[in-house]
Amino acid sequence: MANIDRIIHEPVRLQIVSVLAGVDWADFKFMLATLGLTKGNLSSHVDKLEQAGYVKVKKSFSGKVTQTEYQLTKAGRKALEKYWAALDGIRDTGRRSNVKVKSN
Amino acid sequence: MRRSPKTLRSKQTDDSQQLAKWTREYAQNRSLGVVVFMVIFGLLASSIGGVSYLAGEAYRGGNMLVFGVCLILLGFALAANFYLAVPRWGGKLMNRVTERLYAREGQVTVSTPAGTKKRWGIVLAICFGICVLASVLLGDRIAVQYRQPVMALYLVPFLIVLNLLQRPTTSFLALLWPFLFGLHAVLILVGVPIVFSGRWQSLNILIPVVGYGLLSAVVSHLYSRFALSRLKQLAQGNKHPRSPENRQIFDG
Repeated sequence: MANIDRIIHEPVRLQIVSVLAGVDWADFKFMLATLGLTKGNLSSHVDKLEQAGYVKVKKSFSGKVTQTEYQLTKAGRKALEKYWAALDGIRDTGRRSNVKVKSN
Repeated sequence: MRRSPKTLRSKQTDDSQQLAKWTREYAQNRSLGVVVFMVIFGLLASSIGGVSYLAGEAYRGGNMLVFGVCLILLGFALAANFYLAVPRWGGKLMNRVTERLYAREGQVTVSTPAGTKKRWGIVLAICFGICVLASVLLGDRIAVQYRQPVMALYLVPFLIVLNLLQRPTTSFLALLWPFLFGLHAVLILVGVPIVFSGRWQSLNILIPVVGYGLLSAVVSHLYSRFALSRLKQLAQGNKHPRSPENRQIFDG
């Protein structure tokens, strides 16, 4: 588990970065509706991702309404790719050890 | 049934990659704004055709009042068409309409990388403009049944190159439009009786341009619905936002 990024490894945070990996920007409403999270839950997870430098948060005003948009940073994209590679590595190791156990 | 750690991990990676994939598919196919604009363009083109015909009849019949009203209406329709066709105004309006239409789902964007693509876009627009001008000037010299196939000679490559330049903003489903347009031209050349004549001859262009454009936008929109449902299924399928699992993660 040494290579696993703990920030991304949390399932909800993994979902957030995965969704953001597919697009350039997504707003708060989209993330909320798609992931089915509560407002507090989403904000809390995004805060952690922002602190880690994985997600960029942009706030703007449309009239009196605040619009919050999220973007996956380069570091976030890199971390996600690294995470996928790490999981694949674990899977391969598991497979290989299974084969060894069976052959013994 | 409990999954083994191996299967769980494998599912986690796959789900994560699928989430990214379906989010992109959804974002690329949000074409409801295009559907609305195609309908508006279709109505405007039909009204321009209809009002022009009525104006001609009124003029020939000596009814100057109807002729005058028709000219005013024609002026409005042409002005509206021009407004929508200019990207600076029409594009802004389309963005606003799209934002309104997708207000409940939220906003999501996939942008085209700036740079060389923009330059190619300008070259493409100039080439397309020259072709349109040439076909307008040659209009009467081309037989009615060959007008759509001649138009296909430049419109199909234009739409294909436009799609490639706009990638990843648009999806491959947008290629349905040039495909159908090209197919229509081939069918005409083969001799399939799909050519309108007389007062309906403007439909020879209107149906392939607006009709197929609208059809491809509707197909794209339906695909975006499918992508969104897959996305939600992947994201929310196994958990509820207030489930103990989710709460544990939140607390952690």
